[in-house]
Amino acid sequence: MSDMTADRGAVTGEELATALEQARVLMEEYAGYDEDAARRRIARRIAADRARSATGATGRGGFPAPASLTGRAPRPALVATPADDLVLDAACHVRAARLLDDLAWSLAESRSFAELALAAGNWPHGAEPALLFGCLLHLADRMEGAQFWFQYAAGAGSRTAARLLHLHHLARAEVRTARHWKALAEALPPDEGLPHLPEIPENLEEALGASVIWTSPPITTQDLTALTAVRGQGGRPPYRLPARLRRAVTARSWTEDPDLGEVFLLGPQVAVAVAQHARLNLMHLTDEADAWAVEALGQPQVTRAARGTCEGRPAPVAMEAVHRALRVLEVVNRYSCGVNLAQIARETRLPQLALSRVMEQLVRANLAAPTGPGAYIAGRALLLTGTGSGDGRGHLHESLAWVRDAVGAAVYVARYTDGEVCITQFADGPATPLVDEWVDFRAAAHASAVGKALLAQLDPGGRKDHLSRHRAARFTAHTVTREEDLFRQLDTRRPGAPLLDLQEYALGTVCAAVPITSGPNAECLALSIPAPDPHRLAQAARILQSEAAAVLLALIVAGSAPGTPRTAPQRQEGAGEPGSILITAT
Amino acid sequence: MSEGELDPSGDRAVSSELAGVLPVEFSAFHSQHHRAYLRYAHLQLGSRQDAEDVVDDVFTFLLKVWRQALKEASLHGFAWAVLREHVARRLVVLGRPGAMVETAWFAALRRASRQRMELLECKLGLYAAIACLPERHYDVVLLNFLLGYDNGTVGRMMGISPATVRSHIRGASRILAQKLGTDWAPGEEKGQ
Repeated sequence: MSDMTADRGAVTGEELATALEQARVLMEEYAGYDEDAARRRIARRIAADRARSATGATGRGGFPAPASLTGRAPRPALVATPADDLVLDAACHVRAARLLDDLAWSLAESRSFAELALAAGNWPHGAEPALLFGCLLHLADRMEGAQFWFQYAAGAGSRTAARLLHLHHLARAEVRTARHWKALAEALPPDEGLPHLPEIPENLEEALGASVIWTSPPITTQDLTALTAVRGQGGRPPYRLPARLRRAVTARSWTEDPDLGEVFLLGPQVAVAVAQHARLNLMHLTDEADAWAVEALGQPQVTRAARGTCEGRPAPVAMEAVHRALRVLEVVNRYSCGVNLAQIARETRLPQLALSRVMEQLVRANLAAPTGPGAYIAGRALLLTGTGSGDGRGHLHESLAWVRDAVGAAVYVARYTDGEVCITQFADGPATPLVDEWVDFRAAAHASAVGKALLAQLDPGGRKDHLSRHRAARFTAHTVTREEDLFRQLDTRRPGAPLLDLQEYALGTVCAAVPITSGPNAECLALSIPAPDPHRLAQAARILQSEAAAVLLALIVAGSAPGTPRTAPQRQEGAGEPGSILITAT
Repeated sequence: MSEGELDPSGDRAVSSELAGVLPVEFSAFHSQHHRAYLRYAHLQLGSRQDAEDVVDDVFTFLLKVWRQALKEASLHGFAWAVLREHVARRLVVLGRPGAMVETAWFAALRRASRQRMELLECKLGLYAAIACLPERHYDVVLLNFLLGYDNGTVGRMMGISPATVRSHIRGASRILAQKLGTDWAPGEEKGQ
């Protein structure tokens, strides 16, 4: 055929486009196709196959009758039998896919290979890092990303990468392309320093030409046994990358390159995650990788920086209220038979008004309970926390629900964990819906009130590190994308003023957040209103700010949330004396 | 006994019983994709009979391993590989290479009898050039231009991202233009 095109006259790009537009064929061919009949045919074949395997008959010549006609009930539809696994494994593309999984897993799990990939001479532009990254992307189900990096590695002379590409294309039944890579792999010299990898069996492609899995009549499962002697494990084995490694691998992608499609970048975060996964000490690696590592080691620095904020910098406004509440609690708890307001006021030296406000919050949070007019005793929540039960969580939930009703909007608690924005709690309702997470919150710190409140608590290095991992993308016309503008916004607000998102994340939604911190990580309390009403937002933000202390209190009591190690152990120490726990927690 | 000997009056009883064999999501998947699969197979195999047989085989295989198929990273990508492999196997059984060029050409001839002859000749060249594309480009071009599915549908059907579909179309156009003797300026579309 190709000789017919050899001396064709010039065709312009436009002509080509037009020709392609007009190239449609078979538009009406299957318009009236009876799909129900097709499904009945298929179901009948499966039912017959089950009936046959149940009777043990292997009638190869004729097609057995459907189960209903032989009076035998078919097996439940979705019970896979070993025979099903055999059928699955008889497909060449399935066997190639399993083999590719095995090989990728062997490479990804090899400590020595990780070391080789991260070595100074190789990282990040050598064949080994590309091969490793391709394997990781494959295991993270990023098929096209994996292909790109396998090709990169093969281009750099990696024979293993060419073999993986052979399997990669075979797994998608792209036989011609697969054979191209196979031939290339045979031409390349063997790789050095790789771990032992499973062999690719010689007869892998045999299934393609030799027989037909399902025709009429289908071949019996006994015939398949011979074909699948290599491996008969059926479904895809559960190769799961640890979440952190998976996240690092898939974190940075260029969503759209005109020529390459979706591209994943081999950033320093991968080096760190790989090193951690392989339990390699990054600091022992050679200089160049080390430089990459230092660049990427933002995460520990971030936590340190965040810890610095709650020790070094002036405490966020909410903290002051919490301190007050804790002083009151200490007094209440000391008097096991109850104590009156006058005595509390004497001991805490709090002004009347502040004291009654604190008492109100404590009673609402079940941390204190009235025993008579103007007299209080330690509350139920406080007693339960001492026993280490999970009730503190419920209490946190109650507090959030209360705040939700007070501000008339969905409320959230977020924490900065492992260098990511993480919503840890929320309370919504039918009249107060959550904001639609149309873009991952983790990637939208610059545009969300939550993200800004967390970024505001980081030091400049931490902020820059975060923005280097999450490009400030424009989501609406109001999004602040310039780093300088964003930082100015974070730093020039009045002390204690909430951070706002004025339709920066999503049109029609406004948010406010106030920083609170109960543990070593930055935290905040936020609300979202699904209507761009500045007046309502200002009012809600004011209430949010005054109620932040209650939530913070609840957070400290709940304590057990991951990432707040400071409160948890102390709770156990003070198990006998519930009151003192809270005091030491600050 | 064979399928042809089925008692027609018992058909309803059979179908109600078969409903238990067919999971709902399988039926939905079949309903959504069988026509595209048929047209794709038809183009490769050159006849309606072969296309129907192969697509029956494809969906029988899928139903047989349905539970495992649902565990795949991409059900669609997996099913697409099943289709490709079954077509390849059938071509081996038939003992001939892919018939896309002839099939498409005759289908175009039938449809466009009023078009000028040179235009149709041009088309033959186009189909022949498409047949030489690398497989994934070939699939994308086939689904997109010959079978007329939009980018999103093509991506879903093959289990690849729409961005990849676009980049494959771009790459394929460049290869086609080269094959058909066009001077292709790669910078041409950069402005978009």
